[in-house]
Amino acid sequence: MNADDLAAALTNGASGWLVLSVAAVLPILWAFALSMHFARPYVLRFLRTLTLRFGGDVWWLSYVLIRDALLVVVLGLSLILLFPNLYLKIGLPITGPLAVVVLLWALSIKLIRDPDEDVGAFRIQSVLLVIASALYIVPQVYGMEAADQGYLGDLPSNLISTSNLPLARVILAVSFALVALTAAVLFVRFVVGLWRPAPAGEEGAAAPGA
Amino acid sequence: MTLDQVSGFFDAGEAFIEGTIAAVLVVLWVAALALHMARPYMAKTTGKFSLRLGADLWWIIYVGLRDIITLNVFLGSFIFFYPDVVTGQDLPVTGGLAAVCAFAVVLIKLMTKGDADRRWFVAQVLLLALGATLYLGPYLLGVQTTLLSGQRLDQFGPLLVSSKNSDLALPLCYLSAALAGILGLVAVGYNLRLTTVARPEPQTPGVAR
Repeated sequence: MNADDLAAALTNGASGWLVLSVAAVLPILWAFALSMHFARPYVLRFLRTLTLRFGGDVWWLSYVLIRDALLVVVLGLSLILLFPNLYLKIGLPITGPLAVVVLLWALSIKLIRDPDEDVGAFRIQSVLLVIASALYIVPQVYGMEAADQGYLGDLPSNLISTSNLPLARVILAVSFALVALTAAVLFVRFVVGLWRPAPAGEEGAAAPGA
Repeated sequence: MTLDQVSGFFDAGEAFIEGTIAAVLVVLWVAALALHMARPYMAKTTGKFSLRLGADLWWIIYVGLRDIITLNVFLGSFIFFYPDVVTGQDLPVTGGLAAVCAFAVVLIKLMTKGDADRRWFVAQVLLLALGATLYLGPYLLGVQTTLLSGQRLDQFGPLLVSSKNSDLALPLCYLSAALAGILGLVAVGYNLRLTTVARPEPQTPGVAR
């Protein structure tokens, strides 16, 4: 092996290792994000025991910040599932791209409605998060992380994108289309909203320095 | 360096990370249990503050740190749900069951009054003690003795290591994952049932309670 071959092997190896490490960490981040989302009753219960509004605000702000930041981080890292070279060549959970779509929908609800105040929105968001996490965690754990378990038969290979390419290509294409459509709808809604008069009490709030 | 060696290099990197997680979990388990058992001391210290602000911040930091460490014990233990990792790496054979104990503690915090309910607080501490035993026991007596030899050690040590006792480790891996999944569904159902709860408004100006 000459120097160029070694450099290529190390670069490809490091790239694959990094991608697969992100894929392996994502179930943990998913579990963390879900735990924070569903910890809401516990957080509210503790909030009521605090004696000062300052303490209550610190507690609530920390909770909301960590909860929402985790979901954004999960979405950010999950974008590797939409990279064709990684999804179709290195091998990732087969329904991972669909998980990205459903997670994007769950996060969109935060933009469109207020799940902290709106019971219906909270329920829809919760169900979407559970579906998205299942779409990622199940093929990751019983596909990617069970590839050496011969007694499982074809199950692991069916759950890995590179071992089930015909289905993987369809899933990737559909996910691309849905992500693009969702992003377009959100963008149009945002732009149209700029022309609407701001609700009472919000004038100036959106303008920095106002 | 051959292609196999490059591949081996990155396999070693993966094994190093998983081994490090297993070692860090020892510290996290001890910290989670110790912080729960430190509750009387923390409550006593809360009464010594001359300002309510200080007392509130002390209590928030204590509860936040304690509960986030407990949650992190479960999250770090996620590797015990990966069949390939369980059979390929030297891990505590009952690590998955310990993870379920940590998750059960988190669930109790979610569904009960937690600290305010003495019975459930005792249940939390007992579950943490059980989880710590299930983790620390096989880790210290099995995983950390693979380089040693002795008549009893050679006989019992491998039984506690997942890669050397995969007949037990794999069923426990699937069982733990199933139990964690069931507990997760319980948490989801509880939340959906409680969605009428909104963020409470302060009852009196300047006071949250």
